[in-house]
Amino acid sequence: MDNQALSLYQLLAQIKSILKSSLPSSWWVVAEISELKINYSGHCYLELIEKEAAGESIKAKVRATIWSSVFRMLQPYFETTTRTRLTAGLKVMVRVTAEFHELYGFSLNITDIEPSYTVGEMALRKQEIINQLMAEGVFDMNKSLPLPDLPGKVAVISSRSAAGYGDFMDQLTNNGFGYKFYVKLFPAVMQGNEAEQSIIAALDRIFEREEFFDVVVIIRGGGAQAELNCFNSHWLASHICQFPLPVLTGIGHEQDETITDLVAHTRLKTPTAVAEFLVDQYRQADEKINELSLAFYDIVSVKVREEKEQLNRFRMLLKPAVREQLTSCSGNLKYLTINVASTAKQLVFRESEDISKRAVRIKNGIKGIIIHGRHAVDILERKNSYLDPFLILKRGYSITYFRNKALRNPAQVSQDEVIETRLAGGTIKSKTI
Amino acid sequence: MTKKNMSYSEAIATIDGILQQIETGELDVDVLAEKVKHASELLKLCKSKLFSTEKEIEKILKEMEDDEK
Repeated sequence: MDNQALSLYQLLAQIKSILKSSLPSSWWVVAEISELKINYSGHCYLELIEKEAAGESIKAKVRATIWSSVFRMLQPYFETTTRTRLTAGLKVMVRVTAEFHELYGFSLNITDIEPSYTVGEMALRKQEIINQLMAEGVFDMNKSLPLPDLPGKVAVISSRSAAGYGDFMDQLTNNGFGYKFYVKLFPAVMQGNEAEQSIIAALDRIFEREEFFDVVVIIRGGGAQAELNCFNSHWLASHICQFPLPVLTGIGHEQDETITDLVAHTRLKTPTAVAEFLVDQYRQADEKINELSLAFYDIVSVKVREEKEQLNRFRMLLKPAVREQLTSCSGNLKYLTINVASTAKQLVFRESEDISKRAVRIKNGIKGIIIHGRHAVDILERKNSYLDPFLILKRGYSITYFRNKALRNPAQVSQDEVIETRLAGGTIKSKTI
Repeated sequence: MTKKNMSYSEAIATIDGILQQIETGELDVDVLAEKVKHASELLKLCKSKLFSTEKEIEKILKEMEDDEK
Protein backbone atom coordinates (compact mmCIF):
# COMPACT_ATOMS: atom_id res chain seq x y z
CA MET A 1 0.00 0.00 0.00
CA ASP A 2 2.96 2.22 0.77
CA ASN A 3 3.88 2.64 -2.85
CA GLN A 4 0.32 3.72 -3.65
CA ALA A 5 0.30 6.54 -1.12
CA LEU A 6 0.76 10.04 -2.52
CA SER A 7 2.68 12.77 -0.95
CA LEU A 8 0.59 15.71 0.15
CA TYR A 9 2.04 17.84 -2.56
CA GLN A 10 1.24 15.14 -5.17
CA LEU A 11 -2.36 14.99 -3.97
CA LEU A 12 -2.84 18.70 -4.00
CA ALA A 13 -1.13 18.95 -7.37
CA GLN A 14 -3.57 16.35 -8.73
CA ILE A 15 -6.55 18.31 -7.35
CA LYS A 16 -5.11 21.44 -8.87
CA SER A 17 -4.78 19.84 -12.31
CA ILE A 18 -8.30 18.30 -12.14
CA LEU A 19 -9.77 21.65 -11.23
CA LYS A 20 -7.87 23.34 -14.01
CA SER A 21 -8.86 20.88 -16.67
CA SER A 22 -12.51 20.33 -15.75
CA LEU A 23 -13.65 23.86 -14.86
CA PRO A 24 -14.37 26.69 -17.24
CA SER A 25 -11.69 29.28 -17.27
CA SER A 26 -13.84 31.90 -15.50
CA TRP A 27 -17.33 32.75 -14.06
CA TRP A 28 -19.30 35.79 -13.15
CA VAL A 29 -20.28 35.53 -9.52
CA VAL A 30 -22.15 37.75 -7.07
CA ALA A 31 -21.04 38.00 -3.47
CA GLU A 32 -20.70 40.35 -0.54
CA ILE A 33 -17.30 41.62 0.49
CA SER A 34 -16.80 40.88 4.18
CA GLU A 35 -13.12 41.82 4.40
CA LEU A 36 -10.80 43.82 2.20
CA LYS A 37 -7.11 44.56 2.66
CA ILE A 38 -4.59 46.09 0.35
CA ASN A 39 -1.02 45.14 1.07
CA TYR A 40 2.15 47.17 0.60
CA SER A 41 2.69 45.96 -2.96
CA GLY A 42 -0.83 46.89 -4.07
CA HIS A 43 -2.40 43.44 -4.12
CA CYS A 44 -5.92 43.34 -2.78
CA TYR A 45 -6.98 40.49 -0.51
CA LEU A 46 -10.64 39.93 0.14
CA GLU A 47 -13.04 37.60 1.81
CA LEU A 48 -16.27 37.00 -0.06
CA ILE A 49 -19.38 35.64 1.61
CA GLU A 50 -22.96 34.75 0.94
CA LYS A 51 -25.54 35.10 3.68
CA GLU A 52 -28.76 33.22 4.22
CA ALA A 53 -31.65 34.96 2.46
CA ALA A 54 -33.24 35.81 5.78
CA GLY A 55 -30.74 36.64 8.46
CA GLU A 56 -27.10 37.18 9.04
CA SER A 57 -25.73 33.65 9.10
CA ILE A 58 -23.13 32.90 6.46
CA LYS A 59 -23.63 29.93 4.20
CA ALA A 60 -20.60 30.31 1.93
CA LYS A 61 -17.20 31.93 2.34
CA VAL A 62 -14.08 32.11 0.23
CA ARG A 63 -10.80 34.00 0.03
CA ALA A 64 -10.21 36.10 -3.07
CA THR A 65 -7.41 38.13 -4.54
CA ILE A 66 -7.11 40.98 -6.97
CA TRP A 67 -3.58 41.23 -8.17
CA SER A 68 -2.15 44.69 -8.09
CA SER A 69 -1.88 44.99 -11.89
CA VAL A 70 -5.64 44.37 -12.16
CA PHE A 71 -6.57 46.26 -9.00
CA ARG A 72 -4.90 49.46 -10.26
CA MET A 73 -7.46 49.55 -13.09
CA LEU A 74 -10.49 48.01 -11.39
CA GLN A 75 -10.53 50.22 -8.31
CA PRO A 76 -10.86 53.62 -10.07
CA TYR A 77 -13.27 52.13 -12.60
CA PHE A 78 -15.50 50.81 -9.84
CA GLU A 79 -15.29 53.91 -7.67
CA THR A 80 -15.94 56.49 -10.40
CA THR A 81 -18.93 54.52 -11.68
CA THR A 82 -20.52 53.80 -8.31
CA ARG A 83 -19.19 56.87 -6.48
CA THR A 84 -18.52 54.41 -3.69
CA ARG A 85 -15.23 53.21 -2.35
CA LEU A 86 -14.64 49.48 -2.87
CA THR A 87 -14.93 48.36 0.67
CA ALA A 88 -16.32 45.69 2.98
CA GLY A 89 -20.10 45.53 3.13
CA LEU A 90 -20.66 46.03 -0.57
CA LYS A 91 -22.31 43.55 -2.83
CA VAL A 92 -20.33 43.02 -6.00
CA MET A 93 -20.46 41.11 -9.24
CA VAL A 94 -16.99 39.89 -10.18
CA ARG A 95 -15.43 37.70 -12.79
CA VAL A 96 -13.37 35.02 -11.11
CA THR A 97 -11.14 32.11 -11.87
CA ALA A 98 -10.78 29.31 -9.37
CA GLU A 99 -7.27 28.94 -8.09
CA PHE A 100 -5.90 26.07 -6.15
CA HIS A 101 -2.40 26.26 -4.84
CA GLU A 102 -0.55 23.47 -3.13
CA LEU A 103 0.65 25.80 -0.38
CA TYR A 104 -2.05 28.52 -0.20
CA GLY A 105 -5.16 26.42 -0.80
CA PHE A 106 -8.33 27.44 -2.57
CA SER A 107 -9.08 30.99 -3.55
CA LEU A 108 -10.75 33.04 -6.26
CA ASN A 109 -8.81 35.33 -8.49
CA ILE A 110 -10.80 38.37 -9.47
CA THR A 111 -10.15 39.61 -12.97
CA ASP A 112 -13.07 41.95 -13.59
CA ILE A 113 -15.90 43.73 -11.80
CA GLU A 114 -19.37 44.91 -12.87
CA PRO A 115 -20.05 48.23 -11.07
CA SER A 116 -23.64 48.55 -12.34
CA TYR A 117 -24.58 45.54 -10.23
CA THR A 118 -23.36 47.32 -7.11
CA VAL A 119 -25.12 50.52 -8.17
CA GLY A 120 -28.35 48.56 -8.55
CA GLU A 121 -27.80 46.82 -5.25
CA MET A 122 -27.17 50.12 -3.52
CA ALA A 123 -30.24 51.69 -5.08
CA LEU A 124 -32.25 48.72 -3.93
CA ARG A 125 -30.78 48.95 -0.47
CA LYS A 126 -31.45 52.71 -0.43
CA GLN A 127 -35.05 52.15 -1.42
CA GLU A 128 -35.38 49.55 1.32
CA ILE A 129 -34.11 52.06 3.87
CA ILE A 130 -36.48 54.74 2.58
CA ASN A 131 -39.39 52.31 2.78
CA GLN A 132 -38.35 51.37 6.28
CA LEU A 133 -38.15 55.03 7.40
CA MET A 134 -41.60 55.65 5.92
CA ALA A 135 -42.99 52.58 7.61
CA GLU A 136 -41.55 53.85 10.89
CA GLY A 137 -43.36 57.14 10.26
CA VAL A 138 -40.23 59.27 10.58
CA PHE A 139 -39.28 60.02 6.98
CA ASP A 140 -40.87 63.48 6.85
CA MET A 141 -40.34 64.46 10.46
CA ASN A 142 -37.37 66.78 10.00
CA LYS A 143 -38.90 68.34 6.90
CA SER A 144 -42.02 69.25 8.83
CA LEU A 145 -40.08 71.31 11.40
CA PRO A 146 -40.50 75.04 10.89
CA LEU A 147 -37.34 76.85 9.87
CA PRO A 148 -36.73 79.73 12.31
CA ASP A 149 -37.25 83.17 10.77
CA LEU A 150 -33.73 84.08 11.75
CA PRO A 151 -31.52 80.95 11.69
CA GLY A 152 -28.56 82.73 13.24
CA LYS A 153 -27.24 80.11 15.65
CA VAL A 154 -25.77 77.37 13.52
CA ALA A 155 -24.37 74.02 14.66
CA VAL A 156 -22.06 72.68 11.97
CA ILE A 157 -21.09 69.03 11.57
CA SER A 158 -17.98 68.77 9.43
CA SER A 159 -14.40 67.81 9.65
CA ARG A 160 -12.39 70.78 10.85
CA SER A 161 -9.96 70.67 7.97
CA ALA A 162 -12.47 70.16 5.17
CA ALA A 163 -12.28 72.68 2.35
CA GLY A 164 -16.08 72.73 2.36
CA TYR A 165 -16.12 73.96 5.94
CA GLY A 166 -13.76 76.79 5.02
CA ASP A 167 -15.97 77.73 2.06
CA PHE A 168 -19.03 77.68 4.28
CA MET A 169 -17.49 79.91 6.96
CA ASP A 170 -16.13 82.29 4.38
CA GLN A 171 -19.47 82.65 2.64
CA LEU A 172 -21.30 83.15 5.92
CA THR A 173 -18.99 85.63 7.61
CA ASN A 174 -18.34 87.72 4.50
CA ASN A 175 -21.97 87.74 3.47
CA GLY A 176 -21.87 91.25 2.02
CA PHE A 177 -24.77 92.55 4.10
CA GLY A 178 -23.12 92.55 7.51
CA TYR A 179 -25.52 89.94 8.89
CA LYS A 180 -24.31 88.34 12.08
CA PHE A 181 -24.23 84.55 12.47
CA TYR A 182 -23.04 82.42 15.37
CA VAL A 183 -21.38 79.21 14.24
CA LYS A 184 -20.22 76.33 16.39
CA LEU A 185 -18.36 73.44 14.80
CA PHE A 186 -19.03 69.91 16.04
CA PRO A 187 -16.18 68.05 14.38
CA ALA A 188 -16.87 64.61 12.93
CA VAL A 189 -15.25 62.12 10.62
CA MET A 190 -17.06 62.56 7.32
CA GLN A 191 -15.94 59.50 5.40
CA GLY A 192 -15.14 55.85 5.86
CA ASN A 193 -16.49 53.32 8.27
CA GLU A 194 -16.29 55.58 11.30
CA ALA A 195 -18.31 58.36 9.70
CA GLU A 196 -21.76 57.07 10.65
CA GLN A 197 -20.95 56.77 14.34
CA SER A 198 -18.97 59.98 14.39
CA ILE A 199 -21.77 62.04 12.83
CA ILE A 200 -24.35 60.55 15.18
CA ALA A 201 -22.08 61.38 18.14
CA ALA A 202 -21.90 64.99 16.91
CA LEU A 203 -25.71 65.10 16.62
CA ASP A 204 -25.94 63.83 20.20
CA ARG A 205 -23.67 66.65 21.40
CA ILE A 206 -25.82 69.21 19.56
CA PHE A 207 -28.93 67.63 21.04
CA GLU A 208 -27.63 68.52 24.51
CA ARG A 209 -27.64 72.16 23.37
CA GLU A 210 -30.80 71.90 21.34
CA GLU A 211 -32.56 74.97 22.78
CA PHE A 212 -29.56 77.17 21.99
CA PHE A 213 -29.21 76.41 18.28
CA ASP A 214 -31.55 77.28 15.40
CA VAL A 215 -30.32 74.84 12.74
CA VAL A 216 -27.89 71.98 12.15
CA VAL A 217 -25.73 72.02 9.05
CA ILE A 218 -24.02 68.85 7.77
CA ILE A 219 -21.34 69.72 5.26
CA ARG A 220 -18.65 67.87 3.45
CA GLY A 221 -16.64 68.74 0.49
CA GLY A 222 -13.22 68.68 -0.95
CA GLY A 223 -12.77 65.01 -0.07
CA ALA A 224 -13.04 61.94 -2.26
CA GLN A 225 -16.14 61.90 -4.40
CA ALA A 226 -16.48 58.19 -3.77
CA GLU A 227 -17.33 58.56 -0.13
CA LEU A 228 -21.03 58.97 0.21
CA ASN A 229 -21.98 55.54 1.43
CA CYS A 230 -22.06 56.56 5.11
CA PHE A 231 -24.80 59.07 4.22
CA ASN A 232 -27.01 56.20 3.14
CA SER A 233 -27.14 54.58 6.53
CA HIS A 234 -30.50 53.83 8.08
CA TRP A 235 -29.25 54.57 11.55
CA LEU A 236 -27.95 58.05 10.64
CA ALA A 237 -31.06 58.85 8.59
CA SER A 238 -33.29 57.82 11.47
CA HIS A 239 -31.36 60.19 13.78
CA ILE A 240 -31.68 63.09 11.34
CA CYS A 241 -35.40 62.46 10.81
CA GLN A 242 -36.09 62.66 14.51
CA PHE A 243 -33.70 65.48 15.32
CA PRO A 244 -35.59 68.40 16.92
CA LEU A 245 -33.79 71.06 14.87
CA PRO A 246 -33.99 71.50 11.10
CA VAL A 247 -31.02 69.80 9.42
CA LEU A 248 -29.52 71.36 6.29
CA THR A 249 -27.17 69.32 4.12
CA GLY A 250 -24.40 70.39 1.82
CA ILE A 251 -22.64 67.14 1.22
CA GLY A 252 -21.04 68.30 -1.98
CA HIS A 253 -22.20 66.14 -4.81
CA GLU A 254 -24.23 66.76 -7.87
CA GLN A 255 -26.07 63.67 -9.03
CA ASP A 256 -27.02 61.14 -6.42
CA GLU A 257 -29.08 62.16 -3.49
CA THR A 258 -28.10 60.26 -0.39
CA ILE A 259 -30.71 59.21 2.15
CA THR A 260 -29.30 61.90 4.44
CA ASP A 261 -30.21 64.46 1.77
CA LEU A 262 -33.66 62.95 1.30
CA VAL A 263 -34.62 63.14 4.95
CA ALA A 264 -32.94 66.47 5.72
CA HIS A 265 -35.08 69.56 6.19
CA THR A 266 -33.42 71.21 3.21
CA ARG A 267 -30.95 69.65 0.84
CA LEU A 268 -28.36 71.89 -0.78
CA LYS A 269 -25.65 70.85 -3.12
CA THR A 270 -22.57 72.39 -1.58
CA PRO A 271 -21.44 73.95 1.70
CA THR A 272 -21.37 77.32 -0.07
CA ALA A 273 -24.99 76.85 -1.10
CA VAL A 274 -25.94 76.17 2.53
CA ALA A 275 -24.30 79.44 3.59
CA GLU A 276 -26.11 81.29 0.80
CA PHE A 277 -29.37 79.73 1.92
CA LEU A 278 -28.86 80.96 5.49
CA VAL A 279 -27.89 84.45 4.31
CA ASP A 280 -31.00 84.44 2.14
CA GLN A 281 -33.17 83.72 5.18
CA TYR A 282 -31.68 86.83 6.78
CA ARG A 283 -32.33 88.85 3.65
CA GLN A 284 -35.96 87.75 3.67
CA ALA A 285 -36.21 88.77 7.32
CA ASP A 286 -34.54 92.07 6.48
CA GLU A 287 -37.03 92.71 3.68
CA LYS A 288 -39.90 91.74 5.94
CA ILE A 289 -38.79 94.35 8.47
CA ASN A 290 -38.53 96.99 5.74
CA GLU A 291 -41.98 96.05 4.44
CA LEU A 292 -43.43 96.29 7.91
CA SER A 293 -41.79 99.68 8.42
CA LEU A 294 -43.32 100.92 5.18
CA ALA A 295 -46.68 99.42 6.02
CA PHE A 296 -46.57 101.29 9.31
CA TYR A 297 -45.65 104.51 7.65
CA ASP A 298 -48.51 104.10 5.16
CA ILE A 299 -51.14 103.04 7.60
CA VAL A 300 -50.25 105.72 10.11
CA SER A 301 -50.29 108.48 7.52
CA VAL A 302 -53.64 107.22 6.23
CA LYS A 303 -54.94 107.14 9.78
CA VAL A 304 -53.72 110.65 10.49
CA ARG A 305 -55.29 111.92 7.24
CA GLU A 306 -58.56 110.24 8.11
CA GLU A 307 -58.59 111.79 11.54
CA LYS A 308 -57.84 115.21 10.05
CA GLU A 309 -60.69 114.86 7.57
CA GLN A 310 -63.01 113.80 10.33
CA LEU A 311 -61.96 116.84 12.32
CA ASN A 312 -62.60 119.11 9.34
CA ARG A 313 -66.04 117.60 8.86
CA PHE A 314 -66.83 118.28 12.48
CA ARG A 315 -65.61 121.86 12.10
CA MET A 316 -67.85 122.40 9.07
CA LEU A 317 -70.82 120.99 10.91
CA LEU A 318 -70.03 122.98 14.01
CA LYS A 319 -70.25 126.47 12.42
CA PRO A 320 -73.94 126.44 11.37
CA ALA A 321 -74.86 124.56 14.49
CA VAL A 322 -73.28 127.22 16.65
CA ARG A 323 -74.89 130.02 14.61
CA GLU A 324 -78.29 128.44 14.98
CA GLN A 325 -77.80 127.97 18.64
CA LEU A 326 -76.64 131.58 19.01
CA THR A 327 -79.66 132.95 17.15
CA SER A 328 -82.05 130.97 19.24
CA CYS A 329 -80.25 132.04 22.39
CA SER A 330 -80.24 135.72 21.49
CA GLY A 331 -84.01 135.60 20.76
CA ASN A 332 -84.54 134.11 24.11
CA LEU A 333 -82.39 136.76 25.66
CA LYS A 334 -84.34 139.60 24.04
CA TYR A 335 -87.58 138.16 25.24
CA LEU A 336 -86.14 137.73 28.68
CA THR A 337 -84.80 141.30 28.70
CA ILE A 338 -88.23 142.75 27.97
CA ASN A 339 -89.83 140.43 30.36
CA VAL A 340 -87.35 141.20 33.09
CA ALA A 341 -87.87 145.00 32.69
CA SER A 342 -91.64 144.89 33.02
CA THR A 343 -91.54 142.40 35.80
CA ALA A 344 -88.99 144.51 37.62
CA LYS A 345 -91.10 147.63 37.17
CA GLN A 346 -94.10 145.85 38.59
CA LEU A 347 -92.05 144.49 41.36
CA VAL A 348 -90.59 147.90 42.21
CA PHE A 349 -94.01 149.51 42.11
CA ARG A 350 -95.46 146.90 44.38
CA GLU A 351 -92.54 147.12 46.72
CA SER A 352 -92.54 150.93 46.81
CA GLU A 353 -96.22 150.96 47.73
CA ASP A 354 -95.49 148.53 50.43
CA ILE A 355 -92.59 150.62 51.61
CA SER A 356 -94.61 153.84 51.85
CA LYS A 357 -97.28 152.03 53.83
CA ARG A 358 -94.66 150.74 56.13
CA ALA A 359 -93.11 154.21 56.42
CA VAL A 360 -96.40 155.68 57.66
CA ARG A 361 -96.72 152.92 60.15
CA ILE A 362 -93.21 153.39 61.33
CA LYS A 363 -93.72 157.19 61.61
CA ASN A 364 -96.84 156.71 63.72
CA GLY A 365 -95.13 154.08 65.77
CA ILE A 366 -92.21 156.38 66.49
CA LYS A 367 -94.52 159.28 67.33
CA GLY A 368 -96.27 157.06 69.86
CA ILE A 369 -92.97 155.95 71.34
CA ILE A 370 -91.77 159.56 71.66
CA ILE A 371 -94.93 160.75 73.42
CA HIS A 372 -94.87 157.85 75.74
CA GLY A 373 -91.19 158.46 76.38
CA ARG A 374 -91.69 162.06 77.20
CA HIS A 375 -94.37 161.24 79.72
CA ALA A 376 -92.15 158.67 81.32
CA VAL A 377 -89.32 161.18 81.55
CA ASP A 378 -91.59 163.65 83.36
CA ILE A 379 -92.55 161.10 85.94
CA LEU A 380 -88.98 160.09 86.43
CA GLU A 381 -87.83 163.66 86.85
CA ARG A 382 -90.42 164.17 89.45
CA LYS A 383 -89.51 161.00 91.28
CA ASN A 384 -85.92 161.93 91.12
CA SER A 385 -86.48 165.28 92.82
CA TYR A 386 -87.59 163.50 96.00
CA LEU A 387 -84.17 162.07 96.27
CA ASP A 388 -82.18 165.30 95.83
CA PRO A 389 -79.95 165.53 99.06
CA PHE A 390 -80.38 169.27 99.08
CA LEU A 391 -84.12 168.98 99.40
CA ILE A 392 -83.63 166.39 102.14
CA LEU A 393 -81.33 168.78 104.11
CA LYS A 394 -83.90 171.49 103.72
CA ARG A 395 -86.32 169.29 105.55
CA GLY A 396 -83.94 169.26 108.52
CA TYR A 397 -81.73 166.26 107.92
CA SER A 398 -77.95 166.63 108.14
CA ILE A 399 -74.84 164.76 107.04
CA THR A 400 -71.77 164.36 109.17
CA TYR A 401 -68.39 164.02 107.47
CA PHE A 402 -65.22 162.81 109.00
CA ARG A 403 -62.17 163.27 106.87
CA ASN A 404 -64.46 164.16 103.96
CA LYS A 405 -66.40 160.95 104.24
CA ALA A 406 -69.97 160.63 105.33
CA LEU A 407 -70.21 159.06 108.79
CA ARG A 408 -72.70 156.30 109.25
CA ASN A 409 -71.53 154.88 112.53
CA PRO A 410 -70.26 156.75 115.64
CA ALA A 411 -67.69 154.06 116.17
CA GLN A 412 -65.88 155.37 113.12
CA VAL A 413 -64.72 158.38 115.13
CA SER A 414 -62.53 158.44 118.24
CA GLN A 415 -62.11 161.27 120.79
CA ASP A 416 -60.83 164.75 119.92
CA GLU A 417 -61.45 164.42 116.20
CA VAL A 418 -62.85 167.22 114.11
CA ILE A 419 -66.07 166.33 112.30
CA GLU A 420 -68.12 168.42 109.90
CA THR A 421 -71.85 168.57 109.87
CA ARG A 422 -73.53 169.66 106.70
CA LEU A 423 -76.83 171.41 107.04
CA ALA A 424 -79.06 173.06 104.49
CA GLY A 425 -77.84 176.42 105.49
CA GLY A 426 -74.08 175.62 105.89
CA THR A 427 -71.43 173.58 107.67
CA ILE A 428 -70.60 173.22 111.35
CA LYS A 429 -67.22 171.98 112.51
CA SER A 430 -67.17 170.29 115.92
CA LYS A 431 -64.92 168.18 118.16
CA THR A 432 -65.85 164.85 119.61
CA ILE A 433 -65.67 164.39 123.36
CA MET B 1 -42.41 98.13 27.29
CA THR B 2 -40.02 96.49 24.83
CA LYS B 3 -38.38 93.44 26.30
CA LYS B 4 -34.67 93.36 25.55
CA ASN B 5 -34.51 89.59 25.13
CA MET B 6 -37.61 89.27 22.96
CA SER B 7 -36.95 86.90 20.07
CA TYR B 8 -37.11 88.03 16.46
CA SER B 9 -40.23 85.94 15.79
CA GLU B 10 -42.03 87.25 18.88
CA ALA B 11 -41.22 90.80 17.88
CA ILE B 12 -42.44 90.30 14.31
CA ALA B 13 -45.64 88.68 15.58
CA THR B 14 -46.25 91.63 17.91
CA ILE B 15 -45.67 94.11 15.09
CA ASP B 16 -48.04 92.19 12.83
CA GLY B 17 -50.63 92.27 15.61
CA ILE B 18 -50.36 96.03 16.04
CA LEU B 19 -50.57 96.55 12.29
CA GLN B 20 -53.74 94.49 12.18
CA GLN B 21 -55.30 96.40 15.06
CA ILE B 22 -54.65 99.66 13.23
CA GLU B 23 -56.00 98.27 9.96
CA THR B 24 -59.24 97.10 11.52
CA GLY B 25 -59.58 100.47 13.24
CA GLU B 26 -59.69 98.90 16.68
CA LEU B 27 -57.36 101.49 18.06
CA ASP B 28 -58.23 104.80 19.56
CA VAL B 29 -56.15 107.74 18.34
CA ASP B 30 -54.69 108.20 21.81
CA VAL B 31 -53.52 104.58 21.96
CA LEU B 32 -52.40 104.71 18.33
CA ALA B 33 -49.44 106.97 19.03
CA GLU B 34 -48.29 104.72 21.82
CA LYS B 35 -48.66 101.56 19.75
CA VAL B 36 -46.83 103.06 16.79
CA LYS B 37 -44.00 104.00 19.09
CA HIS B 38 -43.89 100.46 20.46
CA ALA B 39 -43.91 99.00 16.95
CA SER B 40 -41.08 101.21 15.79
CA GLU B 41 -39.03 100.15 18.80
CA LEU B 42 -39.68 96.52 17.91
CA LEU B 43 -38.70 97.12 14.30
CA LYS B 44 -35.46 98.61 15.51
CA LEU B 45 -34.92 95.56 17.75
CA CYS B 46 -35.50 93.21 14.79
CA LYS B 47 -33.03 95.09 12.65
CA SER B 48 -30.44 94.97 15.38
CA LYS B 49 -30.85 91.21 15.62
CA LEU B 50 -29.73 90.91 12.01
CA PHE B 51 -26.56 92.87 12.44
CA SER B 52 -25.40 93.28 15.98
CA THR B 53 -23.38 90.96 18.13
CA GLU B 54 -25.15 89.75 21.22
CA LYS B 55 -22.72 89.43 24.11
CA GLU B 56 -24.88 86.82 25.83
CA ILE B 57 -24.75 84.44 22.84
CA GLU B 58 -21.01 84.86 22.36
CA LYS B 59 -20.58 84.05 26.03
CA ILE B 60 -22.55 80.79 25.73
CA LEU B 61 -20.53 79.77 22.64
CA LYS B 62 -17.31 80.50 24.50
CA GLU B 63 -18.48 78.37 27.43
CA MET B 64 -19.26 75.50 25.04
CA GLU B 65 -15.75 75.71 23.59
CA ASP B 66 -14.25 75.77 27.06
CA ASP B 67 -16.31 72.78 28.18
CA GLU B 68 -14.84 70.71 25.39
CA LYS B 69 -11.27 71.41 26.37
